[in-house]
Amino acid sequence: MTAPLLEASNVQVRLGGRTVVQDASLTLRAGEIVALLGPNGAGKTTLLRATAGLLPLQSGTIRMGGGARPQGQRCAYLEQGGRIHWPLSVRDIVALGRLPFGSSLQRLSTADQAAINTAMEDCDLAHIADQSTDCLSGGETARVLMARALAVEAPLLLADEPVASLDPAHQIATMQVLARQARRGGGVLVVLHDLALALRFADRVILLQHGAIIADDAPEAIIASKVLDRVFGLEFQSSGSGRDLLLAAKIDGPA
Amino acid sequence: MTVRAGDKIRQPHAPFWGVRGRGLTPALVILIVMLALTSLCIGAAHLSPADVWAGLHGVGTAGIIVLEIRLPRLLLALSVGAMLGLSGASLQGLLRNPLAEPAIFGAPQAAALGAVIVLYSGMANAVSWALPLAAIAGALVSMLLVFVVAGRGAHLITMLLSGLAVASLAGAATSLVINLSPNPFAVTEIVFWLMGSFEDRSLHHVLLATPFIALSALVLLGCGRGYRALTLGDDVARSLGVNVARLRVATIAATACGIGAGVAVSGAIGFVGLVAPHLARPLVGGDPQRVLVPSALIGAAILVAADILVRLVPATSEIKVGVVTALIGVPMFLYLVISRKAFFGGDAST
Repeated sequence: MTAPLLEASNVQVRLGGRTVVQDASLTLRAGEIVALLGPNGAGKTTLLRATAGLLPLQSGTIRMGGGARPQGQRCAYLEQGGRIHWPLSVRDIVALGRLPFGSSLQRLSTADQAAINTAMEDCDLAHIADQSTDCLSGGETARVLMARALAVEAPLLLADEPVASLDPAHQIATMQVLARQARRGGGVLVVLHDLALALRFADRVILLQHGAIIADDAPEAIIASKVLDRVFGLEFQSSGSGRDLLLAAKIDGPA
Repeated sequence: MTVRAGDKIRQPHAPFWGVRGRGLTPALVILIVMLALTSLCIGAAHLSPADVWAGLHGVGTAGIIVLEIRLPRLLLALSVGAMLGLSGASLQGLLRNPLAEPAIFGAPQAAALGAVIVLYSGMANAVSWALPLAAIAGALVSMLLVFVVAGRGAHLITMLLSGLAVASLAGAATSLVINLSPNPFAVTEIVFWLMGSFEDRSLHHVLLATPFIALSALVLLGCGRGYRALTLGDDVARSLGVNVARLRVATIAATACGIGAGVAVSGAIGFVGLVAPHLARPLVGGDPQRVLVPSALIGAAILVAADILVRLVPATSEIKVGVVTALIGVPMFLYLVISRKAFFGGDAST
């Protein structure tokens, strides 16, 4: 078996004097989509940012595969609800993903161009490539940011709620893009709120509660274990095939 | 306002004119060369372009006028203007905010305080290295103070208020220094100097300021990639391998260095740093890296033009160039504030 793309051991993160993530260990291998689930405030974003090297660790280690390449080439990070602060064109924003390769907008290599074009096609942006990003809808902006992250062509993709502002069709299209990324040999760690979407597309689900990982298993096993009911304080039922999930009538509210 | 089908809706940031990309820099350079030649021709003694050409070679009276009076003035206007435009564009890129400029950090006022302390405490004469160094120190202190008080990632309003406080403090301290100065003529002199002018500057002044300005311009131009990455926010920029903390320090230090050196020789000249990037942005389409060079060139053009204007207006004593830039810049600033009221929270519904 190949070495994991990402290996976090006993990670603890403190923010503002509060322990937000404690003793979290996870691995991510090539070809895998792992969904990070949990209620609001469970520490999903914090764990993802720590994994991306954006937060100092209180203790624990994070090891990233990809050899001696610079961090920016090994791991692409997609921010939750990311904003585009200046009105660049769609293509120029996507091209920012090539920055870790020392590419500037004036000097893009053929490899850069190919990565940018593929990413834009994957995210259904080719027809608005030259539009200014201040004229885009929320969903289009989200896809532009996703394409920017894909353009890095990093083995590891860390995505924080990439489908939050998308309509159902584009949600599925985006998840399919992530699946394609995994099929090409990448590893994807994605924070999601849509449980049905997560269980349908993820190879593995990691469940966070109060900053700790309480489950790390295949979607079928997660559904069978009823752990989701405990964490979200809701009653879920699987419908037919082992991966589809329905929300039952009984609602207790958050645990 | 009613919008009908077929109405042309102006896209606020879409590039206009055909002058974009490669054609823009040469076009701006030609504009600056034309302004520069005009600047050398105009003054108390009118010189023809032929006189100026001869003067540049040191021939006759024209030689003295051109080389010793008008050339230093032109070079200072060019370099200080370019620095103001560049530092405005850089701070806007760093803070991701089109209203940022050195003055919102109180940098020019604090630089003036540093220079005034050196000048009127008799520590040094008007052309010594102590002058730019003290001004740079003043600008640096004010910028750091605003950053520390407002905190990292602060809203622009917090920064504006902190900057206003620092600028007022620097202004008050400057008044105090003038009052305490042993030189009775200090008040008049310093008040005129504070308004900003390129009158009666020599090549010594040029030599004092330009090394610092050149150094900071190099640093700021090198930061362009980082500003572009910051378009996507701090976290994403860092994930792309940009050292955001270093970018911040480099920008503040370089801006303070360039602004301080400029203020040391020409006094406080405001609003060019705000206006120049705004004129440049429609030409390059919002990119915080591509806006840097055009902003510098437009800043230089504005100050050379303003310096021509002050010599054309008939007045008993020459109008100060800082007065002209304020007269143009303040209405533009107010216009920007009005057009962004919602952003400032001026709209009750937000």
